[in-house]
Amino acid sequence: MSVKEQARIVGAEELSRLIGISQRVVKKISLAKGEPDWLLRFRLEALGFFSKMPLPDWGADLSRLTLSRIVSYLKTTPGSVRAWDQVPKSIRTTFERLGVPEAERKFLAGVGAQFESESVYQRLNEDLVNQGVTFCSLDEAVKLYPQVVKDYLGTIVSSSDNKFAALNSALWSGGSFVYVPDDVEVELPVQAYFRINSKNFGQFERTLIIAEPRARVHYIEGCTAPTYSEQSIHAAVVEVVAKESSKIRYTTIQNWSNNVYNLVTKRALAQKGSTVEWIDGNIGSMVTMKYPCVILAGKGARADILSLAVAGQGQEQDAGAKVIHLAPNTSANIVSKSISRDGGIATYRGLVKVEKEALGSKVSVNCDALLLDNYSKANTWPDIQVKNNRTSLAHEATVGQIDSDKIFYLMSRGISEIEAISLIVNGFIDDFSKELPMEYAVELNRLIQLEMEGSVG
Amino acid sequence: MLKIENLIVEAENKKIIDGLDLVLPAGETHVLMGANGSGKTTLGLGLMGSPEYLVNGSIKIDDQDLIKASADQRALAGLFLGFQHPQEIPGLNFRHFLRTSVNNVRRFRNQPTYSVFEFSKLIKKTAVSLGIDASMVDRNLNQDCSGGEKKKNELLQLLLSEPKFAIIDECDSGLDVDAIKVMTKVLKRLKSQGVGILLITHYERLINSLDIERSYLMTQGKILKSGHGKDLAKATLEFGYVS
Repeated sequence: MSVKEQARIVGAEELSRLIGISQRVVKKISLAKGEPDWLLRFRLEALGFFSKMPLPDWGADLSRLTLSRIVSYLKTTPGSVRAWDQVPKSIRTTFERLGVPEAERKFLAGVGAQFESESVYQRLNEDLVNQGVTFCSLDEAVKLYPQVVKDYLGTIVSSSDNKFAALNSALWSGGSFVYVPDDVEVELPVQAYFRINSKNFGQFERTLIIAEPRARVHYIEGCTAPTYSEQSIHAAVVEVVAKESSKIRYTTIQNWSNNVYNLVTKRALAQKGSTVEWIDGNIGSMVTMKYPCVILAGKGARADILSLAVAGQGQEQDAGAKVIHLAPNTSANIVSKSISRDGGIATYRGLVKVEKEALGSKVSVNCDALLLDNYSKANTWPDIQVKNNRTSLAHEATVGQIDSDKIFYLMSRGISEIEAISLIVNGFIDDFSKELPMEYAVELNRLIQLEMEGSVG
Repeated sequence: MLKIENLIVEAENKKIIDGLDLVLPAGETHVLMGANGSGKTTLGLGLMGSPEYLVNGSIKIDDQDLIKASADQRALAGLFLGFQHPQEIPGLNFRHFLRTSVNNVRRFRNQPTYSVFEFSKLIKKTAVSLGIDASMVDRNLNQDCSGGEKKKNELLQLLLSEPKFAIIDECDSGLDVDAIKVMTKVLKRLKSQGVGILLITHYERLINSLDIERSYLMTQGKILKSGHGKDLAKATLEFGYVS
């Protein structure tokens, strides 16, 4: 390693760790990233909103959340690279254990990996690069496409939307930027993987996805962290813009450890004839509050929101969906599945608003909750507001335990009780898992099976 | 040999089966009849180990007593119950379920298990040989299936599970002609493989088309009459459940 490289790494390390939430911290992050003035102003304004806004008094229990001594920025490598063998070994090993490079070789068009605050790896298939597709960290996008970022950042989720959107807007680092030009179809999914490895850390990744007219893309997000006794927070903001007749699918498999507050704002703007799909799986975290939203702004736009929440011991999953119909003939299909066990709390919280102008719209909301014992909880809070009389609406909700006759039926075929329960539970979430790429569906089933083995017998 | 001695099956402090004895040798087919409420379905459920019932007495397969065994252990020991009303399991793929079940049994018997590919071939072949639409196996277990389709699913399970003794509960399940044909085929095939079958039915067509070693008439949780062959069964069909 040359002296210059060593100096660069030392230099990077000096700027590598910031604690707390303050103007000083915000300025340091922005300076270290060499950001334009407008972005620093954007951050400082957001910090102002954050300081003034109260914690949400609805939803999950946030009374034990402490932010004052949180590590708000942490950089562990000198920069993002395009080959796994250039990623520092300890970090590379983490991602290898998570199967990320393997998945990339097998079935992904591109991969981004973020460790703590910064991207450590980013690559996109050559032919997609040649077609004008961009997949990089949002930090990199600020440098490469400053005008695009400036035009869209904060336009779908404003900095004053909620306290955690404000926090993210002030402290954001990393996250993804995806841009797909007109008519380009990205066939294989691109995936970003977010990893928290430190204690008492705040990860504030920010993602912006733009699909130009008739473009198609499937973005997958995975998240994990090891378990510590101290809490960490993941407060992300995701902004998605689906232009005319485009299609964007955003899949999340969130498996944070049980010490993470996962407080995320995800919102998409769907223009004429476009489709936005949120496939949102919440298995981990201590507390999750997340309600992926689609604003159906253009005629004939469509929202599909499919979510899964698994709440075990000490977990509260407060998740759901939000759809705002602003234009005629728009449709929303919401399917929510939740499983509560060992005292876990799973809540579906949804809002569907059909405005006066959105004539001929269709809304379907289905919420199914499965309780695996008598001391866990499932709540359903569907709020549906329709302001015209030419909207068709279907709403169904079920809450129940596993039927003991079903368990006996499977057991009578030589299947053990635990295996029977796990087959039934995996069947219950099949509507969700069949929408995942096969490799993820298999992994999800395995995860559920492990969870069941932990809770039964 | 399946040997049932002094079987008592209770639910909510009420004896539904009250001291029943029955011996079913391997390779024989016996028919059990009885009026509604005589305890036929409960007998099947009790023998299979349903947690709904309190069961006493002894249920032996080749001298191994299963009275304390759970339902899955009884299945592994070679007992099969064809349900009158099979359960629907939404989202559970039939082929995946059946491979899990069959492989569990084979593993227990130290036989090689089937790979996904081998099992797909086997299940399709078996379905075709019985005249069952092979696309059934791609569906979810009994989900959105008609009564006849559920019955055929049961028969596929019965055949592929390779049980030693099967109890088939058909008291009032509305078998159609097609399902009766498939069932006859399956029961004949099982008999030729040495499987002992206890058939709970009142379908004349089914009784006529099978070789039957013994018939029973059940009333109030007990075997009231029994006889060689199918004469008793046929007489009961003709004259009703007179005692």
